[in-house]
Amino acid sequence: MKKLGIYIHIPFCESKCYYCDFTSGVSNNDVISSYADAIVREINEFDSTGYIVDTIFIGGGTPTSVSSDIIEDIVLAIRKNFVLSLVEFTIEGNPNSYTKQKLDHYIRLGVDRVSVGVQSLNDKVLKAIGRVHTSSDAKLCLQLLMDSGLKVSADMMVGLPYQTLDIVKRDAKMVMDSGIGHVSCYSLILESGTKLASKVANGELVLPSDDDAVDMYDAVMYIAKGYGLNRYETSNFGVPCQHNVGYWKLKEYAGFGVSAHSFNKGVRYYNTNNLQDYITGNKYIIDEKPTLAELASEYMMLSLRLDQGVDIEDFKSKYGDKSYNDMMSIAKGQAEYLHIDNRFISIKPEYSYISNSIIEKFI
Amino acid sequence: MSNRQDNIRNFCIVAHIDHGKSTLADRIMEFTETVSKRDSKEQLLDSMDIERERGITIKLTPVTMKYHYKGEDYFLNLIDTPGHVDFTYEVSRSLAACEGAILIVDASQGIEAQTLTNAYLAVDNDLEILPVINKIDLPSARPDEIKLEIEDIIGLDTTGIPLISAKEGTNIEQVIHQVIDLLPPPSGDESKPLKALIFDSVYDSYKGAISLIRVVDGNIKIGTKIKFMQTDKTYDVTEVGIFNPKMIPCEELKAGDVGYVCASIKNVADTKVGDTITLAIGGTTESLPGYKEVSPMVYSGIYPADGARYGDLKDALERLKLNDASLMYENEVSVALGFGFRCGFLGLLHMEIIQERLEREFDLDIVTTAPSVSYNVIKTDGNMLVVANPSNLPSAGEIEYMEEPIVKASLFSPPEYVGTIMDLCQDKRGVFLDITYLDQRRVRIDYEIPLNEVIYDFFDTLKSRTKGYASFDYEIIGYQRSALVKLDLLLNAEICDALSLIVHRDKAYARGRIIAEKLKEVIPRQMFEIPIQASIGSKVIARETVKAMRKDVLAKCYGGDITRKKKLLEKQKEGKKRMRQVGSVSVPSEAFMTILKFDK
Repeated sequence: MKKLGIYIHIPFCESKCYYCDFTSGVSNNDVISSYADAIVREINEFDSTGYIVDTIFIGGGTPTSVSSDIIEDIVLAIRKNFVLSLVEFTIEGNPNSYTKQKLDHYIRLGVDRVSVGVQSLNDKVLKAIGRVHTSSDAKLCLQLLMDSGLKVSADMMVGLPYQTLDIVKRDAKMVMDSGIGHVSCYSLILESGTKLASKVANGELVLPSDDDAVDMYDAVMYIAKGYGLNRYETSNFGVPCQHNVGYWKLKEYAGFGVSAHSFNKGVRYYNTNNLQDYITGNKYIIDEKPTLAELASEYMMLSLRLDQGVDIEDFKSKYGDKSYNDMMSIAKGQAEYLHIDNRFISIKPEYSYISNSIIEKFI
Repeated sequence: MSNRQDNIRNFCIVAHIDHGKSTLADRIMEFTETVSKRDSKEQLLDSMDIERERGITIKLTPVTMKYHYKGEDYFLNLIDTPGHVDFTYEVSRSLAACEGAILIVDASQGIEAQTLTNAYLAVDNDLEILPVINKIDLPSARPDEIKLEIEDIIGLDTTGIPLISAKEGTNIEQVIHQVIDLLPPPSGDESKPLKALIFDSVYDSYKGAISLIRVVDGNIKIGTKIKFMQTDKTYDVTEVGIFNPKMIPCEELKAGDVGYVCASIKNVADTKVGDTITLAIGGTTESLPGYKEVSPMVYSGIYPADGARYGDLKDALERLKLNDASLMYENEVSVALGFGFRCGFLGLLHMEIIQERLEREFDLDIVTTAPSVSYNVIKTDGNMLVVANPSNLPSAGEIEYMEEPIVKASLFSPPEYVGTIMDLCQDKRGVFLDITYLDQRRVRIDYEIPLNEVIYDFFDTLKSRTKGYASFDYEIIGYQRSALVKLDLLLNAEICDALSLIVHRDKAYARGRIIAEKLKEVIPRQMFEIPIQASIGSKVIARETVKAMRKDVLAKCYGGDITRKKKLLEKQKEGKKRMRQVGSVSVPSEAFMTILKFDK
């Protein structure tokens, strides 16, 4: 039996954040319920022979913004069509849409990990990026989640308008004071076509410089370490998220829902990112059937984001001597930026925030 | 019957840029019904897009017009001339093909630098000059004052001078009548052996290099065995004809005629402007005067932005050279830019035109290095070296001294800009020669300025500081000993050869500082800190630093979209590939262009 991770995309939100360029938006209940039907249909059509599901991740959008009954329908479909042996079942959501009732329902469905998009605990910052919640919503939510006894993760962002190093430090401490076991910290990427991009372009908002954003990130990393949350991947600290680690280790996964990506049975494919098309009978789109050499370079691209780095023996056994020799010679050319020992190749911590320039050499 | 040459007039139109030369040529062609108004695109004689866009003419295209006047049929050969200083030699050969010239003066701007240069060139070639005042339709026209300027400054009689508007077609007939009445007919001898002046050449992919000629003596027809006196090559004529304005074959061209000759000549370089065509057997031994080998004045390196397109660039230069014998190029290898060419141009405009044509007509992205002039380097061993590429300069220890080309610059301007202009010339190491107040509105200022200063930003700065009112012309007057040094730019301690410059010692510090500052702006941050240094020899005179990059991470792969992430990385990698490697430093192509601009 091969292990499989399942990703469910819930593209609905109470409102769209200004920086967001994902498939997500505001919809009414009829659309939501026919969308759930479409996901259930897609799950049922998946040939699960030979797979055992060990992680589920329900992401979005804002999965907590829809009725938990919708989530139940989807989970029941998964349970019906797949063999499960879960080590982790995560749902993510917003500070103002987690409720005690929903949490109890999620727990009954088997959820054991909750992730919350805090981003910042500064109201001026939150407003500038179009978040619908306030900092006190977030603090109350963190309390609620911690009290549930589930594993809790919080997303934070740096490089946001009005953010200063002091604000970020204060926010990070407040988040970690809750006793949380996992934090993700992302640096804002200004995507073209977003509301934030136009506000920056017309001068309405100013972003901190890249250097300042890196200082903020470094501060979060330093503070996290003080709370025992060690970095294990470029943007992640604490007890590793098994589902995401699956992506980084090229484990097979099946994504259900609009714009979801999948990699299983040797094929990468993805669903349409048009919600109506998806509901009326989506045909997935084949992306590529990666060759062994391509898989080897993807393995490098993904593993080098992990602090542990590339497991040399694992790499060699999966991709053979030629790929191994090629990889080692590139690695030696980059020795200045890498830590290489008998078992692992990893990017030196001081270069982790410019990892792309190192990783690109391997692809 | 009267001599056939009595019914021929060979003339050109000369003017300062924008005074309406091409428009007048168009009107004359319409008036003589050589072209119908319907067919007439604006300014028919300018055949290249770039020329039309800039309103300047570079390529000469003659036209033969038939006109009935006072009971006689006249053949009027109009030879257009380029108005720019880069092409002075070509202008002089075109003038040599004529007996007269129409000199256009703008009714509001009056005499400008090139009005005078061209008028003097015409006088030097013994041409009868027919002044006309154009643009009288403008509200700011002041024809009476301009008449006085023409009389005082050029010394031409303005009695009966046509006051015209080429744009509106006013008084064009008067101009044509004066061409016939006042300009002399040709006076060659048809019975003498053939003697014809090549005043231009064009390339045709079917007919090969075509010589544009003025027959001085004798005649030429299909089958004539001809000899080019400079190249000493002989050919059989395959076609002769006239321009109308398209090429129309005819039986023969005789003394006094203007037309073209095809003789299966492969290369325009074999049909040199200014050369004399005669008979291969029994021809004249005396060539027409005035022939000169054209030599480039300005040089620059041209490289493909994408090294893989070297072959395309080579092909493009070969194609341009087919039609432009004055373009010179040779292979050059730069450590920073790879394989490319060192190109020689007649002047700055010529350089810009070639660069633009490479980009537009051949769809090439090119990197050009800073323009250079050619220096005489006198070495300690007594040998002299001519250096047009700063990288080829011998080490300071081997150089006894250096010489640089000097121009005499004439600047025309309203009096209020005299101070500004003198400041500019002084700043460009100019030596003041003379100042003349032509009238209340115009001053002429003469300076000697090193060409090396003129080729950077002199013209642009002059135009911007005088709000476009000043005009400028120059001629090379010789070489002068000068304290020149080689300014190198180092990136991460390695010299970037494509950025090296030869400059005057006194200018080196300021220029080094400006270039270092500009490079800091255009070189992206990389994984390590990059010191940028400007140096003379081993002495560092300016330093900037590009700080190490701190952030280039991409967002997490949401929902496992690994393909997108991979594509972004590949795109980033691709972007870096397009940059040039100077040692360990990646340098974007535009960095090499920054040193071309020196606005302070």
